[in-house]
Amino acid sequence: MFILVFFGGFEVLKPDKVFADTTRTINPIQADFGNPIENYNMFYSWGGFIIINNPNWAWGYLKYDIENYNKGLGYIKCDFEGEARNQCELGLLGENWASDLLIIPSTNNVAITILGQTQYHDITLDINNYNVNLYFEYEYGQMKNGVIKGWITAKVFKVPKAGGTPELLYQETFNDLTFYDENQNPVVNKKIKTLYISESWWGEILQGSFVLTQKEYPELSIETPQKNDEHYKPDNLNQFVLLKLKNINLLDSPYGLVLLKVIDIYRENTYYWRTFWTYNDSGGFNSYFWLPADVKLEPGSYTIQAYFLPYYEYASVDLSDEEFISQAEENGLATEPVNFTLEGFNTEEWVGSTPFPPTSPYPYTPPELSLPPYAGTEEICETPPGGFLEYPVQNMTFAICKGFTFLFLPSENQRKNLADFLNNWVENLKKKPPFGYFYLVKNAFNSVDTMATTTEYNFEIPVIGDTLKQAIVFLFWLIAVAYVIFRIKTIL
Amino acid sequence: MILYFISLFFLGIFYLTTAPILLLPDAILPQNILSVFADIKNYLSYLNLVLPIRDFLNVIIFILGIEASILAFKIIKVIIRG
Repeated sequence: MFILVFFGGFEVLKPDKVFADTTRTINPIQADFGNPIENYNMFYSWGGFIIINNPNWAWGYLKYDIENYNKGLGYIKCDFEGEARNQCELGLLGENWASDLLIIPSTNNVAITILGQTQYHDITLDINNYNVNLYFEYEYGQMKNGVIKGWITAKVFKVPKAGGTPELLYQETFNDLTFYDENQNPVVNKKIKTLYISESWWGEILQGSFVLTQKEYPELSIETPQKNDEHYKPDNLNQFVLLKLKNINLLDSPYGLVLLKVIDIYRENTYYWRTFWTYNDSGGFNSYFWLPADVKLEPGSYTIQAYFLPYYEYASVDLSDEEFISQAEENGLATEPVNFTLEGFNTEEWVGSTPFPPTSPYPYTPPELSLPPYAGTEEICETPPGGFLEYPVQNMTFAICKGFTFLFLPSENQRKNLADFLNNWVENLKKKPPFGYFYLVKNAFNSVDTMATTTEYNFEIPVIGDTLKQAIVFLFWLIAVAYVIFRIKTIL
Repeated sequence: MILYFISLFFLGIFYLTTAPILLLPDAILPQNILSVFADIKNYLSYLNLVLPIRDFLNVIIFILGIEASILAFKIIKVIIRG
């Protein structure tokens, strides 16, 4: 019961996308200690807690293999038995005892070792009247560019021995951690390998529980049909490149948008186009489909990358290409760049015809706007066809025109200066009170998605179908129109 | 040239006028207000499962627009009558 209260109170039992066959629970407070890979001098007391088998050895530990789990949380509850030299430790170990996280509390501080760096934080722990709970939570994600990153949260609570609510003494989350190997190179494999529980002297571990999850991620990749020779001639624009999405069932939304970024290496052009994507299970929760070309590319060398966003993340705002790419990368839904040589298309029926119709209502990459003419350019003042003696009027007109444009039209640099000045001023003003509050609230409202239908909890709520929703929408507008008619009648 | 300096002059005046505000520290919303928006987001997600919230908001905005127009109409009428 206490465990449930503890977990519930600190949102430890927040539901997650946990698959039954990939989750492991370790309960060290049982006769087999939850099957550790190593037990040094630890003894299960029939009173239901862990003690050291022989206190003269002064130290004991349990180690569990957690290498296959990239997400975990858990805690142990320790009793110092009123003796300050008794110790209790909870850790996540990497290679060769190198600790990724180690929590060691004492009566006046807690030592936190994170990726080899130890910090001390002051706490006050009355070990006569309180037990201590050591808690961790960690997650590390997909490998990106050969590096795995993750985060770890450490918490320390004191729990009244007489019973009562645990009180938080220390909490810290270490974000954006990069795991390194012994040579200080970023690791390419998972780093956290071992869960470590330790105590010394006559202390006791009263409770403990750990939930480990092998969290899977969707994987995105693209390839050309003739990947081996990397020379590619698709039949038509509809078969430009093949997109593969593995573990598609891990996505919250069964449809979304794909942004294709194609770099023309020699001509130094970059093309972006987007297309809708819907769930198409090709077996084993994998989806394969062609990404059509929106522009007819010339034969040449290209680098291509695809970015994916589930629909609900795209619903409320029109993301720019950069924002789209950034969000997709954050979610790990970007392919590695693929180089290929395009030899053109097999069919020429597309030549001279209208461009391939876009598969989405989203616009193509907007064309770059050219600047309007500025002072001194020939677009404004027409150059006279000859000398002053032959064409005096044209020359006079030209001179006056040049003079006036110089006096009254700012040059390109001047306009740029003014624009920069104005932009900086406005941007600064937007951050300052009271305007800043308005923009902060406005931005916060922008993040509120009135179309999202996913929640952080996986509650099963009966969902009203689209047809019924359309009926409700119709009803809304009917009421609105009726209201307007009656309202106008009252004022006429 | 002339227009540039005239623009600079006016921009300078605007800048000086707002200089006291620019000297203030950046506005920061308290964490609990930010968490309110996160909560709104979550609650709307629930509501969206059963109600088309976006359309509902559009209808509300539409009605408010009509009310604002009527108010403006009345104000103008009062002004014209003196």
